[in-house]
Amino acid sequence: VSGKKRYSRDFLLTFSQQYTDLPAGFQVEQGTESLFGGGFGGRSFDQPH
Amino acid sequence: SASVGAGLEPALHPLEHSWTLWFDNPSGKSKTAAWGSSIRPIYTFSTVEDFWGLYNNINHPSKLIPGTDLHCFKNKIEPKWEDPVCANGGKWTINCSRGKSDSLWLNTLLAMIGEQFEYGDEICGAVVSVRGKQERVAIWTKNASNEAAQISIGKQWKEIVDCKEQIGFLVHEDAKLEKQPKNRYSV
Repeated sequence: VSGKKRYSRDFLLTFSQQYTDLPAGFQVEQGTESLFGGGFGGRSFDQPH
Repeated sequence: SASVGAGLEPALHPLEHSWTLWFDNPSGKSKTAAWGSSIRPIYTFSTVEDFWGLYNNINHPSKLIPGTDLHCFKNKIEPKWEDPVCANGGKWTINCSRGKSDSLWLNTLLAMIGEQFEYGDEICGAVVSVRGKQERVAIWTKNASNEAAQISIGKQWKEIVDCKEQIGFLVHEDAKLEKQPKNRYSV
């Protein structure tokens, strides 16, 4: 196990509010809208959010 | 040096593995479609930062449409029995009532990507399945016959997510061949 990149839950959670934007270059593909909150759910695919 | 100076991006935290989020969309599934044909990869992340960027923008299980399956598997492993890495494996499952699996799912993901499992190499990934009356989270593993590894993963998972109930390990091969397959292991 040694040498692995290990991170505790508490450590990972310290980053949870710092990264709130989708990763750069991410695109929501057609058919996956229901996975995404607010701006996409139940609305037309190309509606701005 | 590139690491010195103001205004640079903070250092990223790489994960031990790259992980792919897969989405199985119930509305895109026709009755005649082959099982598994609607599963599609959404995104592959390999840093703590990209994990949160993705997680913070997707619906949590309680907000997903019943019928949805969301998989988070090590990159290059498809969340299917037929995948060569999964073929001889099985899964531990924890059941919840509808709307109750959000923290179970997150804590499972954090433990996996943070490499908290002693037998983490045995893990393929995890899946949350949202159904009308219940939600369930499962951890898929590689070698069902490796009893020590399976028992360790099951016990550790229960501790991590504070699960007090007995959980069972089902072998994929048994699930394929039998109508009412029995758990191979329980913890």
